Amino acid sequence: MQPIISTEDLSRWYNAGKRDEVRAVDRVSLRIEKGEWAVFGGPSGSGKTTLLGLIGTLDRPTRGKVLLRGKDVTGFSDVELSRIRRTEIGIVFQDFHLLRGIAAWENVAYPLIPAGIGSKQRYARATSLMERLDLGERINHSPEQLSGGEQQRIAIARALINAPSILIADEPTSNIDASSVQALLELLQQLQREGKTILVSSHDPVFKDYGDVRFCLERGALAEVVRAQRSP
Amino acid sequence: MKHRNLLFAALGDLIRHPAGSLAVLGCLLTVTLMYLISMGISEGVRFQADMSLDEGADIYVSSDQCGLSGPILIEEMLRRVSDFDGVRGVARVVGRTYFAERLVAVVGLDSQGLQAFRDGHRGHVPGATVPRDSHWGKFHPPRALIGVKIGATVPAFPALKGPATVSRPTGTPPLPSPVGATENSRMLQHREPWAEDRAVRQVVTSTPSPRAPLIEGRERQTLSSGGRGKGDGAGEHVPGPMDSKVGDRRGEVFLGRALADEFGVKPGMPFTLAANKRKLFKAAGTLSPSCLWSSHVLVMHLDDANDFFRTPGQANHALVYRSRSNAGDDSAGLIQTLKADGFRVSDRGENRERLRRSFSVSGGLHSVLLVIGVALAFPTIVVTCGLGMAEQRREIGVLRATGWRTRDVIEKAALGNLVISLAAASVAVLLAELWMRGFNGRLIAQFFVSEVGIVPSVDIPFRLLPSHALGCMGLALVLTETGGIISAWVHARTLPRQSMS
Repeated sequence: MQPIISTEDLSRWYNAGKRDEVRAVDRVSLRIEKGEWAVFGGPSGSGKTTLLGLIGTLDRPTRGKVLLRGKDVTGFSDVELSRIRRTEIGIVFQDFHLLRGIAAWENVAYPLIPAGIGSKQRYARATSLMERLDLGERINHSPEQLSGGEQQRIAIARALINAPSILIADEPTSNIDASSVQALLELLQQLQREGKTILVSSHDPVFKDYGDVRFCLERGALAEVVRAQRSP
Repeated sequence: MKHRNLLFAALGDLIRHPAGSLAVLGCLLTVTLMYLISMGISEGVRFQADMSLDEGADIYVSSDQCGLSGPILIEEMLRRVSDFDGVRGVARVVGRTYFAERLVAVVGLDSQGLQAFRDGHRGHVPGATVPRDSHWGKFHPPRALIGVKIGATVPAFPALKGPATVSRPTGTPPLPSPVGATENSRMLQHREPWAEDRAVRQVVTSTPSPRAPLIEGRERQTLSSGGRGKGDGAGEHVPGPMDSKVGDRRGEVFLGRALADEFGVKPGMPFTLAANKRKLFKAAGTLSPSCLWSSHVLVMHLDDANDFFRTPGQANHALVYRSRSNAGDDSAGLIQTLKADGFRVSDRGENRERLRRSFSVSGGLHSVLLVIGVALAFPTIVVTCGLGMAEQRREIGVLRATGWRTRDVIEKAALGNLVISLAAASVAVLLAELWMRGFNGRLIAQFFVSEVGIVPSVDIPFRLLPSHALGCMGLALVLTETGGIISAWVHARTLPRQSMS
């Protein structure tokens, strides 16, 4: 079966060929099947965020390939990569990166603006998603008025607004409290059950018991791959 | 729908970043306001010059001195003109002198010319014909702000102020011809169909009683190049209170309004001029403040001008007027003859072309100044647009990461800049109109018109055309779009991960 995501010899080097060369991601080859929950672990600076950025088409590799549904996207044009980010991949950033000064629902619906969807429809889609994420009472609040956990759920809602098949979350537990972590894990489980492929980078031990496959990175290289046995 | 979405998103961005938006708006307003005021004044001056040309003579004659205009002998020239049918000549002396320390223009007209000038025909004096309501847009209400009550009658062509001439209410028959029923005067009246109406509508603001003091509020004073000083004007006749012949008498002078205001000259006040202190003049009235061109001018009798400049029997020009009613005028023959005799002859068309060229030169200077201004404004706007550059960069990175295309990001930035440019241009047009018409360009006119001072005492010519408003809009757009789009394009082309870091 064709994996939904795979990488071949994927590398991202900074200052390549110079004395201060940094190999943030170094010759990583991996496969993630459709509907899998992949956890990328490893210490800080091991290259987790960079690797997810490459897979999420936010960055271009120094060498190697990223294949989505078997297609090499590393040579894709800017427009094609934008389309992939709009339709295939939803990304939740470590710092959430919500737009300040606008309501929570507007943040969620912002990716729909260039799609030509009217304001009423955007509002309807955003609020529906927010209610599902237990944010029904925070629709008109601005991000500054929300807690870390709420902001993260807003960011997840924004990532899901275009109904992507792949959700990437970078260090999702780093800016939320313990009570929110459990809610997040349940949410991710629910999304996986709905058929989404989930990629999470985290050095939080709480993820040890979650995920179908665990990729451990060290100094940019893939050190270990642990694939959990799927229950029949 | 997509473009509307992007427009509203851009509007939201402007509101979300009020400090940045206001800073850009302020910079744009400064640049566009200066542009509008300079263009408006330039057009106003051009318009007044054009009107003066329309009201002026049909043909100007002077002698040729090495390709430049030289003096003519008055009697000989007028006699030659009178040999031709359907034309009439008026001699005019135009010179320069100092009134105290101020350089002024001197215009000398003969009795008929002065009388016609006083009664409504002001084509002999450049700029004296400009009506106050001649500007584009008929924007009058601000007059109320500077002391004229709303609804008060403002003379349509208030050439003379102070001790006035003849009080005639609207609707009364026209003034009798100042030169009788001669053919020439009929011709003169005919070529100005509105002159009668103008004379009738002329509103007298004050008519001093025979016992009124000659100098309002103070004794007779003499002005000389050393400034204002007292003198008794011994040996000279000082005309009495104004009558229908005021201004026609020898020694009487009409002063430009700026000049009169600057030196506190009141009607009836005697004065001398440094260039010829033996000659005593008396202020007969002031010219309308509606024209910049006549703000620093002395209009006097031709003989006085000849005496003053010590050029008896000579004039700078013969102004030749054609009869519009007489299709058989022989002006063409006159021009041909005078040219053949070596005179410099120019008709209205040639003068208009000369004027157009001179304005093209000044227009070129304006353009150069404008380019310099824009060149200086450009980095300012770019820097201002870049206020919160890190924030803008981060936000663009987020948009790109959530699927926005580069062109979507640029379109949103362009629409935001369009909105702010429109706002700046609209506010600039309103501000320019208000400042120039309501406050007559106080504080700012001095940067565009020399010697008008902080509070101009003459109406600063100002005429905004739709093309100026469009130019203003274009300028604002160029400034913002260049800075904004380049900035947005650079950030949008950067990989999202780099923009967001």
